[in-house]
Amino acid sequence: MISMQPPETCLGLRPVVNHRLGLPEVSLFSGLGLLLISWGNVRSRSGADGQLLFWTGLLLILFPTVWRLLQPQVDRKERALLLALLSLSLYLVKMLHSPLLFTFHDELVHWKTAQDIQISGRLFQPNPLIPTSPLFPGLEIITAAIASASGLSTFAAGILTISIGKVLLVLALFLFYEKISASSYLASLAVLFYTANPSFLFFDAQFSYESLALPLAAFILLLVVRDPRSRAAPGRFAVTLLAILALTVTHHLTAYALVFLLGLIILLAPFQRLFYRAYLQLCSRFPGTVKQWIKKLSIPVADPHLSPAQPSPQVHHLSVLLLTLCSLGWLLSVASFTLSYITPYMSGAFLELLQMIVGEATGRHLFRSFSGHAAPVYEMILGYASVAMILAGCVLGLLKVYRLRFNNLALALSLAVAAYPFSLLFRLTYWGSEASNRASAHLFISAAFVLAIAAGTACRPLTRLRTAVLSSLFCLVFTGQVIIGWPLWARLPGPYLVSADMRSIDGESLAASAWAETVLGAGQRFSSDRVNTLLLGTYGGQRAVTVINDGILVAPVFFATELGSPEKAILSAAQVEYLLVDSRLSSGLPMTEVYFERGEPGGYRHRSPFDPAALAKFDEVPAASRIYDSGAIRIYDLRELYNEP
Amino acid sequence: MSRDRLCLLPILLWTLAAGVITLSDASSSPLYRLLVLPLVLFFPGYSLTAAIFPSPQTRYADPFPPQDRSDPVLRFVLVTGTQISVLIVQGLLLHLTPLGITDRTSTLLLAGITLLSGTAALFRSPGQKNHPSARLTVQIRPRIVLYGTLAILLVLAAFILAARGMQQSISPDLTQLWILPVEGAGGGQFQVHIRSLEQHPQQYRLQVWASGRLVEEWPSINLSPGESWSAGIIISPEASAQVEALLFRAGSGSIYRRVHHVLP
Repeated sequence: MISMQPPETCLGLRPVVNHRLGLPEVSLFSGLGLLLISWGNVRSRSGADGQLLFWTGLLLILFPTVWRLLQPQVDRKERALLLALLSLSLYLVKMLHSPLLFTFHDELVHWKTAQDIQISGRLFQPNPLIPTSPLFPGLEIITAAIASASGLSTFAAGILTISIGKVLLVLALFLFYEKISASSYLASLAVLFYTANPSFLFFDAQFSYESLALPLAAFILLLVVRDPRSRAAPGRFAVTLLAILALTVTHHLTAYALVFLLGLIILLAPFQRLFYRAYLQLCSRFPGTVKQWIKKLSIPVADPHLSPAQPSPQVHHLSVLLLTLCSLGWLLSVASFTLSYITPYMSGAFLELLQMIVGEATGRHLFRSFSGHAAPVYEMILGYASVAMILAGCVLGLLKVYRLRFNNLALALSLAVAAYPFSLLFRLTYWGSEASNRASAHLFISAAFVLAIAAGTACRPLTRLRTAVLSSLFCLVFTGQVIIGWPLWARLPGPYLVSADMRSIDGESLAASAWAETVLGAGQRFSSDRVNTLLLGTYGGQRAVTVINDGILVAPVFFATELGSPEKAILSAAQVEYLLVDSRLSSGLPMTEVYFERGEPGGYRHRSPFDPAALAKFDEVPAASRIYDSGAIRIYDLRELYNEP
Repeated sequence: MSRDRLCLLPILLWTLAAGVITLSDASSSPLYRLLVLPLVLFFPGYSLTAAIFPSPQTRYADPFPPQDRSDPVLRFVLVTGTQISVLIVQGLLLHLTPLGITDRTSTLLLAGITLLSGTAALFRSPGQKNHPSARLTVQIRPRIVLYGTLAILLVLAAFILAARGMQQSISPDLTQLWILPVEGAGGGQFQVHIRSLEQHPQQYRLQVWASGRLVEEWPSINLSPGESWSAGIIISPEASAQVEALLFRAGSGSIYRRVHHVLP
């Protein structure tokens, strides 16, 4: 491994010796933080405010870890352990949200795919909820294998799989950054910044294919970046190929993002000399004070590991070519459905952005849902401040990367950061906001590196005060990104909310889906709202009718004030046997902007709660039998409807 | 003896035992689980890594310099990444065979991979001692033990607290009423069910109506939490188009639950 001199000698840092805060103390703070978060969850479930406890707990996890990682005298093994501890602690934050069963939307979908593999012993079993899930079964193969071998439930096996993946992700990234920067100090800071991406805490911690694909992508990154002096090694190539195959069948977007990133690095690497000249010319045009400021910030570093004598690591081109071919081959031969799944989002986002540029569209309001829910002011401030600091850090880091004359790979990786501000533009669109959020997990691979350069070399000498300031700034960036990446209502568990995924799953919904499986038997064709469809199609074992799978939107049947011929025609075409109606839909606006599915009448534009009369109309239909009632939830048997003359 | 050899021999023996117990069809015993679980979590990744990236000071060059390969962080990443990749690819391969992905096929394939790569690693490993940096030394100090134990206890407390909170919120506090035709009994025969998932014992009153006429009434049905009750009803299809069951809670005049079914 790259032997590290104490970084204070490399980076001109004066060590802030603090023997009272080591790994054991950091772990204790993390445990305390998790306890506070758990307490916050309990308070939130009872309807009280748990936000303060949540944020305090999160800061107790983050601040000591950052403080310790900023200490130059910490050795690389401790850095690796600190990062693993941080990763697991942050994963536990998500786990404490729902410690007994999967409740996040995508988790339920992948749970079904894993169950299908265990029951049938075959891959690619249809999943009407998200048909792409079984086409990328990497996560579910592992979960099913662990569940079968250990006797654990799919839930427990899934938790174990994601936990292992989380540790692999941070350590593989740590080694990757270390390889590029030749500094475990900078590498650990880069990983730290990577954990601040908006998806890390919740979205990429759920039982979903991206959560496993990211560790695999980091593993591939580590394998394909190599010392140019090394000889060809078939064994290593075999492992790379295995990892490439595994990633190809685990998640579409992560594989494509990795191809994009590595392709960009390969394309940019030969042009570094040109970019460096441009940088020098740019610097020469700055006014004197700005130039001085840049110079001051970019003190040449006497880091022996950054010496030009060290050969620049290179990307193994053949591996990237294979990754590209495998991803494309899988997409075209097995998972062609993915195109129809992703294309509307991509094309919609680009079209909307173009319309905004030419003034034909207004775009969406940030921090405000379509139905009018606005985030608190302090969240808006934190969110904007976080993005502003990341952008400023990227600019500063980019200047420093050039100033320090890193190797070509580091320079190319840093240039890829340009994609980050571009992705932010899509947050202003209706179609692209979610994609922009999800892209952050991939874009932060380069952004985190640049930010680490900025943070790792900005404040010198590193006094106690500056360490505290840097740690605080990191916490601010982290919290701001959490706010951006995950809505307020979803951050903590709590009382029932309308169409709010995990917040809509309660005892009554679970009891209804369990009843359907026990009494009606599995595989009945059911239609319902977003969350109950999800529960019926997974825990309830029913055949959920969805527009993405069946091509028929049943939602207009629910919105209609009476069940006329058009509605009957929809039900008949979709062969719906049972309808589950949840009267609580009329108690509020949908938190996910839709009551049923994308494309529903008024979707993303709902201004008033669901009409109760529309939900009650099924009681007036003579051929519809109301066979189940548990208070808010009713189930109707529609099979006689189709026998009517 | 090198660390690889020291670990590989017991791993190979363990894998052999796992293969034998899998073939002996004792797949539900705790011993089976004990033997098979490392195959899913660790062994193939470890033995493949040992075969492909042998310990330092071997004559086999690869792009990780020898001092790199002795790094425990890198070894963890290589073993875990390889293990995950192997698991996924073996699932794909098994899917392509007529055998499919079962507990047995998966275990046998993973055992085969472990045995082959482990044996290869044994032959590749020169048997020299590892570089001192390869040893993962852990210094157990009272401070580490104390704080580590406290941290684990805090995490456990956090989990128990969160689990209890969630258990309460997903426990239903309701009564289910349902009506279904009796299978194979012809039109007009129904079964009405009540299941109490309330937190406390409840007393109910059930009425069955057809064509505006009270057909049957159960004035007092007492159910404890988790208890169910059911009764059969026979309605003449000629007399009515629909049967309706109304459930009331004791002492209340308003309908608590209502179901109805059309007559075929």
